[in-house]
Amino acid sequence: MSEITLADINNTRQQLETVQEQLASGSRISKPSDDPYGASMLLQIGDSSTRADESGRALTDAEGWLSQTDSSVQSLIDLTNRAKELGQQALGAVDATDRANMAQEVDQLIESVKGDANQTWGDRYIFAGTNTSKPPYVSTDDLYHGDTGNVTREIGKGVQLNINITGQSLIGDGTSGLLKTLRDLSADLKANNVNNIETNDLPGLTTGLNTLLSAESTVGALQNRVQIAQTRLSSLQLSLQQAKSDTGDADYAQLAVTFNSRSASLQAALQAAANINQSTLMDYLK
Amino acid sequence: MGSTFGILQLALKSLQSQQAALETTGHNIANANSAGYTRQSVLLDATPSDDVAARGRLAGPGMYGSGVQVQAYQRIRDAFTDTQWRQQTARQGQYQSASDVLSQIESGVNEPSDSGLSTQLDSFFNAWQDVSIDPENTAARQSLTEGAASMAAIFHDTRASLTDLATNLGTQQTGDINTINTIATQIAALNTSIKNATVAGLQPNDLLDSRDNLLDQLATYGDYTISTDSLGQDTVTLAGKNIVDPTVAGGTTPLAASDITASLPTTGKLRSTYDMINTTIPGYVSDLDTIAGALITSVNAVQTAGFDLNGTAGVAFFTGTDASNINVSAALLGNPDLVAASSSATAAGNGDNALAAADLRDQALIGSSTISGSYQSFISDLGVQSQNAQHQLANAQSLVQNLSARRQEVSGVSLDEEMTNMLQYQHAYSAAARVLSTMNTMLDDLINTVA
Repeated sequence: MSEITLADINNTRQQLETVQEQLASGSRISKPSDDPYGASMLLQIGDSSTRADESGRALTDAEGWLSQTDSSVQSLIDLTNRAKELGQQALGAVDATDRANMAQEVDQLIESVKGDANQTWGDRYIFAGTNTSKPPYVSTDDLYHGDTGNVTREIGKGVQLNINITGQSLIGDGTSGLLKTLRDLSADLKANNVNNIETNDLPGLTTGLNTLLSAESTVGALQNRVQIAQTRLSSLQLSLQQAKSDTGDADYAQLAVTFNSRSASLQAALQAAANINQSTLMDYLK
Repeated sequence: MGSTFGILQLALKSLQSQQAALETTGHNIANANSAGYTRQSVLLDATPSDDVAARGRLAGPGMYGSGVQVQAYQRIRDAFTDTQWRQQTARQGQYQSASDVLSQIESGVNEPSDSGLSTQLDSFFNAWQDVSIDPENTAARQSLTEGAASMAAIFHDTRASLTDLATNLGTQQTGDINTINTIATQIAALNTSIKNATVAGLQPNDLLDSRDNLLDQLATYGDYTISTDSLGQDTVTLAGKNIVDPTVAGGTTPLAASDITASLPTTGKLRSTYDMINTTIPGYVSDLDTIAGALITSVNAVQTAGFDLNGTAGVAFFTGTDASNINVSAALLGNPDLVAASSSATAAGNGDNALAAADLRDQALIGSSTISGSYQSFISDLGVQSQNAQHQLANAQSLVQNLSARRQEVSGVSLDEEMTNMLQYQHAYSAAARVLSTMNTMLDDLINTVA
């Protein structure tokens, strides 16, 4: 009889310990055998959640990259508009000296355009394709020194987003594109070739401007996608958090109730044991 | 009618018998708390009638009694319960050992936690993605190689905790076998004493208790069979070997580790230890090796297809072949620029190859599961196995408890009962003494009056 009483007491005490452990650690699963399925779920959720964090980092980086691209393209548009203005003025009542002065300004504009095309995000040149460690344009020539590679960011599981625009497609490489048109404009201004400015250079600038405007809208669309991905990601992170808590966290209210009922039954068992083992026939024999 | 003094003899026999019964009660009370003690009771029996005994025929109105004698000192024990108790104790020993070992493995793998292998695998692939975002960044590369090195260390630790456990279990098995052989030697010695007592016509109750006690101790190690010969000597067969055998010199044939392999016990600690050493632990080790192996092969394949920061073709990322020897190649640890993040020799900003390495986490590299998936099912397997052992243990424990209680009911000493018996024998003794004194008075009367 005493053996069974003792075993019961030990049993209740052990159950109490389990509840107490869960209360203290705040988690329902401290080793795989507590709940094998739950434990592997927790690992999976942990995996997904670190991935979401990682995607978050990729998105933040993409966001910065794109806003840097946006402001550079914006600045290129301003510069091109200024060049167009100068070209238009050159068609009016100005003399050769004025045009030569304008040519000076256009040369400055060319340097600024290159400067914008050499913009960096962190220490990476954003318009250089994947050759991001070197500036795509140098002052000694108009060639494009980058490559045509794509810079991509994984913004979700298996979803790649191409976030770069190459300088070549934006302002050309000196043989065609905006940079070439600006060089032509400068040369024509210096040569006082008004006709050429009107028939070639100004339409060329319009084309260049259109390229820039379409690049700007592309960047805008990409920024939108990144933003949407960020919203989706934060809701994913929230639901992962929820799932993790549902699977692994201890339910304090329930544990508190269990704890109380178990400790009550432990006390009852102890009391009973004390009473049962107290009296024998010997107490009544004289 | 018997002789005049016959009644004195009768009273004497009564006094002796009641005293013997009282002694046995005292013995029971004294051993109320002795482990393995079996309650004894005195079987009292009326002695044959004097008529029949002395004259071989009936006389007068019929037989008259000639008193009492102790026929036997009985040992109150139920052999069937013993067998059941020993079988369940073997099961309990098996699952106790299994659940102990499995819970040690569980604490060795340390999951779920923030420092287990699962988290390290996640961080490893994340680090690749970091490198893919910013391939020129040496810090990102550095944290990839350092993180991979610490992941490799955890692979080593986890595997070592498994193999160490197997080694320790081997030592434990040797210890268990020694204990078994010691018990067998003691049983053999008791066999001899029991035989001597039996030959002398004695009932060796306390020797039988000691032997049953030893057999109980043996039960936790494995299931065995007992056969008893006409002289009361037991032959105990464990793992196909007669570890106690009265027919051989010394009475035992010692158990060796090879016997267990040759004829595996069905249950018991020996069985569990054997299974752990030969099946369970090697299984987990091989799971871990498969995961590490797949990681090494796949990451190296991606690496050697790419180009490092200097535009040189990539070198293997990991050295080694399994969880015991997986290591980040020393060259990469020294110079993280050698991590082949690019898929092109000329483009520093190209992180495609790093991304390809990061994407390995989604590929079915081990059968139809991913690396993390495979590790998760490893953990889940371990959990299920450990949980199962715990359930079986709880089950066996409660059965053993019930059987112990039943054994106690049959063989245990109940003080209340002994006290009652004591009163009974005491009063019987007093009454017998009263018969003697009455007879004494009668004889006194007779002798004095007649004289």
